[in-house]
Amino acid sequence: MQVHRPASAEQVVGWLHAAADGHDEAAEQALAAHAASGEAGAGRAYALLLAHRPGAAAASERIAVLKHAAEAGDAFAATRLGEALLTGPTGGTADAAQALRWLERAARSGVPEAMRRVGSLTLQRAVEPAQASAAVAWLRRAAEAGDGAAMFLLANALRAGQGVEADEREALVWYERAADAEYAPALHALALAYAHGELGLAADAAQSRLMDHEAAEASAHAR
Amino acid sequence: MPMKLARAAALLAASSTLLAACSGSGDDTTPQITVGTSAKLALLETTDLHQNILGYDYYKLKDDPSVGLDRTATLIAAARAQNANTMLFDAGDVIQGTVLGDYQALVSKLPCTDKLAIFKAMDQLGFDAGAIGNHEFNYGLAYLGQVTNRQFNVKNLPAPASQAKCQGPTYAQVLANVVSTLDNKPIFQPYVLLDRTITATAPDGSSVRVPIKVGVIGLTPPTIMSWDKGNLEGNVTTTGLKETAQQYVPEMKARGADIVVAISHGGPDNAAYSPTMENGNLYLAQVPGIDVLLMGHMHQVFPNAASTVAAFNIPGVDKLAGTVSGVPAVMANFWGKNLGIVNLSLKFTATGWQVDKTATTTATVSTQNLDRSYVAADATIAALVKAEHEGTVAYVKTPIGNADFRLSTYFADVGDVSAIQVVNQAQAAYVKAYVAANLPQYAALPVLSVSAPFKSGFAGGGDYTDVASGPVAIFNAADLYLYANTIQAVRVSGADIKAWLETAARRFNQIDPTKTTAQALVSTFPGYNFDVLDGDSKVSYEIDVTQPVGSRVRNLAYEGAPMNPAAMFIVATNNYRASGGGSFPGLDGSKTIYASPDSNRDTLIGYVKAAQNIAKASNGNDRSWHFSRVATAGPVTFTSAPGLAALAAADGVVGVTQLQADDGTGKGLALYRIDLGVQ
Repeated sequence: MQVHRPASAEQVVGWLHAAADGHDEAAEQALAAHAASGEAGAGRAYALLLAHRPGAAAASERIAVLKHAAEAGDAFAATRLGEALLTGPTGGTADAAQALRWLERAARSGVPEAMRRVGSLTLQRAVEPAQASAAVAWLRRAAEAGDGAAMFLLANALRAGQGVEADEREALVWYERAADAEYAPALHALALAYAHGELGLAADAAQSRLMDHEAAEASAHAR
Repeated sequence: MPMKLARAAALLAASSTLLAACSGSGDDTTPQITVGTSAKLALLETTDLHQNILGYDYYKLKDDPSVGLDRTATLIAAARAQNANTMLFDAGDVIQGTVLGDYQALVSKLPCTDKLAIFKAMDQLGFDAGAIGNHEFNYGLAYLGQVTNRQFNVKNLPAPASQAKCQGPTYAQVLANVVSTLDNKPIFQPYVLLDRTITATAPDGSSVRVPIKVGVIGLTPPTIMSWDKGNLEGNVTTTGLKETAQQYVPEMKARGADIVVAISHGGPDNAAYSPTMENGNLYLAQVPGIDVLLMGHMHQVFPNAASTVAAFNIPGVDKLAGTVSGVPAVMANFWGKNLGIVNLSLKFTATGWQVDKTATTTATVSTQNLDRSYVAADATIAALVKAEHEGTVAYVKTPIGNADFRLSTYFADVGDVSAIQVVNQAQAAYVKAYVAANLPQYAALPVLSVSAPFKSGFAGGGDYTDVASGPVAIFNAADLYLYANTIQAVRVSGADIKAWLETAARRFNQIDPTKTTAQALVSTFPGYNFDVLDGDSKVSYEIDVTQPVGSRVRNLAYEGAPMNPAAMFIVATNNYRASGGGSFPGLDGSKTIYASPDSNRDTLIGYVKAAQNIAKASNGNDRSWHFSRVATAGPVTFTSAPGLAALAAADGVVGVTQLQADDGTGKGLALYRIDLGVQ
């Protein structure tokens, strides 16, 4: 299909719905064509469509679409591309090095999720202390940008003294912030901490039960 | 005691003086109040009761005095005794939250002719008005309409005229910001005007009885539209807190409200205002005419000078004085743990009643005394909901299957899997089915599972999972899976699994086999992180506690051969672990291939229901790991509940003997020895 002018956001959403819910082939072709011509919105939509499709062909095509968009400077696509490469395109082997390059690009553009991925991945692979502390710095940037999962990972690092001096008090602060952001794993961490008197907290069964209840609620809200 | 009863009591106590005072006025409809008359009016608040009527934990089947409206009732009675004028309000999240709530809604299916248990209690306590919280929508609009006796005019229900009139609470239920898509009108009455007579002090110092009209408006978080999308989408929409109040408060004032109380099931948030924001009270309180703000939803105490909650540490919120945007405000915690009190100071001026904000105070009182004991429960509440309570207890005791062995964690630290294997089996079966149906690209991968003993004696000898042989009931499932985690499946390599188990093996101290003195086996590494790997009897490994952390897992095998570090596996676990909880190497949320909305506990319940019979041979003795055999010169010790060495032997854990029936900690724990030379 020949693309004459960029698609509007409404068109893209319309095609995505038609292709996803109505299995409209023309809509899918339109998305693919506009994605191929380098339109960020169409690229994201087409990649999203492909993400929900089983099979190796769809997975490879999705990676190609994301790469095209990421190369054109779409930081969101770069994040998704990095994540896809981490999982391995067809359920095969992950390409962590390439994933990290795309995620770093997205992180530098300010995508909190990418900052978190870079931080966590770097922390896992860190050999030198300097690498680990740089990793924690990324987690902290993502956490400060409001990413609940990053808050949780930062708290874990602070608790374990990974890439940063162990500091249970600050770990507790970040668990609580992640809990405020309704990030269920952080609420579970607090439920366990109250049950066992960890992180400087007095053991408090009722508070533990509350945190557990809140975790269940947060999981339900995340649905 | 409700207002009406209070007045009746006062009449009985001082009937002659009151009758004399009243007899001078020939026209009751326009009572004269002298300018300068003053009064105190205590507004009492409960919130987020969540069907905690009695202080009882239905999963543990035992009393829990830290929660329950039956103890809040005692605080209410005390507040009424201390204040001449009181009114009682609830800020929502009433009908859902305990097993009793689920039992009434989903199991016994409350008949139209019966009043919901918590509404019975609230009516007895004489509530004046209550708001509707977000959780009121959890069971759907039909049920909410039934239990509140509202005939909603919404798309997915029959026309209001053909809906049954059921038993609802007698107090006024108000909700202004949820409107029907059919007529754009609020599905509850948006506000109510309550006429009350209060005891006041005339300018000459005499005590007088005077009328006051209290307007009460209710609001709920607009975020219900995403939280209860399935129940609400297409039927109702929400309007913003600020816009809704701007519409109704002037109307309430025009209709004679002397004071306006906003009950808003939410807290404050200083993010920019939006009509869909969850906690819009900072902006709501700025709407002219609102005199009092009763909050909820956050499960917090307000005012609270020591609070570190972000929402209470923002400009416009005074956590010491108890004001939000300058309006006296209160939040009474949750589950009946606290009672909120706004003690309004009122002055009658030429323009009517005015709230003297400088003399108004807000506070909460707790059911817990300073010595950590709790106030007594109001026994009349238990009598009122006896049938519902007993029905719920019977329900959680209903067998869902049968076990031919005792499932316990007393010896989980030394290799027993009697309470762990069935959890792993349930998780693996669930994930396997999901992958087969939805993730064909992973269908060839083996599915393994990990689970940890959540109860491993931290709090003493009673803090172990222990399900007797025989019928397995719902409350047993809660003992087997203590927390409300959700299932996740991660895709990891054999090397990742090895590293995972090495982390779990930090549960143990490094044992020096040459030492002749006693060495404690278990470290401070928490039991809830001691993941045990299982997979259809195809997985086995040893833990060598003589080795340092990181080099303890030996002979890790899959299907009888050493596990290939490069081979890929799916491991079923929970959201805490898969997201990075416990800092297990490689687990940071990025390995998750499926994040299920279903809880591990419900999955276990489903598995037991389907299996019906849980047998030792197939569900309780796949001891996937054991300690490496090593002779030690001195005893290696651990603690568990006393007198159970025979149970360890029955579960196949050899070499366990009890050294002391009391380990000296006073926690009901015995000291055991395990002989690593016979493992």
